Amino acid sequence: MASVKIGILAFQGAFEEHKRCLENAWDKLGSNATLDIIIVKRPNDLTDLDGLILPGGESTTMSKFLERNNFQKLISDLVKGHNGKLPVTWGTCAGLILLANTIGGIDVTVNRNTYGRQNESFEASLMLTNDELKGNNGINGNIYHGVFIRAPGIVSVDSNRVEVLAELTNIDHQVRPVAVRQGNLLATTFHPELTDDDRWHKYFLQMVLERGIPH
Amino acid sequence: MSTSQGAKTGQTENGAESQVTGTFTLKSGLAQMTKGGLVMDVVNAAQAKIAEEAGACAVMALERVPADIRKSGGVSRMTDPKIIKEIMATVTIPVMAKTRIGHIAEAQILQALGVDMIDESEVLTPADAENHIDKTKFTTPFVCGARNLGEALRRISEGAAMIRTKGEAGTGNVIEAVRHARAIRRAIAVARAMDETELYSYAKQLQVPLDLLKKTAKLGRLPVVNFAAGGLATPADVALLMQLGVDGVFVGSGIFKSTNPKKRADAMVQAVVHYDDPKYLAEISEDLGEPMVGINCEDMKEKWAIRESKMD
Repeated sequence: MASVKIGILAFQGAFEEHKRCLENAWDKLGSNATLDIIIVKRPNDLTDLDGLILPGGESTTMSKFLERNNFQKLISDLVKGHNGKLPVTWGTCAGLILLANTIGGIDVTVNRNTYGRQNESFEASLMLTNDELKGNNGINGNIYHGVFIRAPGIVSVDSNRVEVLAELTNIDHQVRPVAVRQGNLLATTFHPELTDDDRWHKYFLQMVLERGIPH
Repeated sequence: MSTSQGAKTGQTENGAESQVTGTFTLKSGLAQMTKGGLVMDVVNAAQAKIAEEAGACAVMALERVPADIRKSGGVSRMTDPKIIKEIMATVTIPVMAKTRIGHIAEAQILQALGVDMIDESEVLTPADAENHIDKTKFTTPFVCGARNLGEALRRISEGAAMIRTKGEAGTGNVIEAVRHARAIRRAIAVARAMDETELYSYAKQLQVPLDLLKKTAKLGRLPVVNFAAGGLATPADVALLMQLGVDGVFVGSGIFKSTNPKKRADAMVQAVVHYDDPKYLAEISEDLGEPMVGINCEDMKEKWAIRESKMD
């Protein structure tokens, strides 16, 4: 049977939470293929991935691990399609910082801990600006409840190839992007893996399925 | 954990101006972000920098590491805010700090300083012989020590967002941390094997709220993140505790009381991730210099782990 292979970078952070969410979302998609989740700790774990998640956690900690075993270049090549395959890659929170600053590939400027320390962490309703994400949910389809923990901010979108998927109206009434997509790359400043709303995991898996399953 | 929060928001009408802070989802969420990581005790900015560079997922800002607290004796209190502020200004990773058990005012001061997490810790001299802090009153998350499932669930019911085994801090001896990690694991396995009727009496026996015990039994693990702490001194110690199912580790005296803190810090951070790879552990355990001297727990004058049991 065909299988979809999704890796979750597991140096540190909320990788088990993503695993649980992926499994739940996959069941609801009703695909004939099987879902194969790889906990990525070693370079070999990156082989033949259809998708990759860079989870939330501490970006400094994860960067230290990326410096070892040539990991950073391997992932960088992978997400840019240098190995022939172009896996769909999703960074949440710290994962976004890695995608924007360390690994590269997503053209946004990111500011770490943009809202402050833990006491300033917050939950807020945000506006989905992408129809596919809205469409997955009937009631209040355009609202999504975001969990922001010592979250980074997207200070600017630096390319017209970047699509904004969700926006947050800050307390200062400024509207800022909090989720973006650029080709095969997806990034959120908040943590869908800490909620029961599985729209983002479904969206990610649909991105993977749209690319076709070559196995 | 996030179920109630998630359910509430579905009805929110407008995206703007509905930000909430200090919820349990946010508190336990921070703990979830530290998973698979090592929290390192540091006493100054220079040590904090070493910890961050080694890949620690957070630091615990202290005036003295536990081994020195043991040596000097006397009453041990919250760290000088000056030291905490210096450490907060130096690193970008989360900074934790300790309050005495039951010392509401110290905890309020730490929250006002803006530390990312407060450790209500038996390593400091307890301030209240009967009560722990009501942690639900704070926006800053708390981590608390536990020796067994009863202590762990009582702390969670008081609002703790994270649990760590007590072990015996400042000894470099892992035996108590292992005892506590195994005790919690064993009690959860027992709860899992019980039917609902039996859980009623088990909750009474453990002196814990029934709903928390039921939730724990269903999950097969503590409902919040659970780290090991108290006496870990080598990468192998880290690997041992990780294999007993903890989510990460705290290391106190074990690093900066060894002869080569930088190298040991590095190796112990690696051990949290590669705990199930003995070949790799052999590589990183090589030539780390002398570990901290260590104390045999039976030779100790005072066991800190039993400090809060008098009131439990």
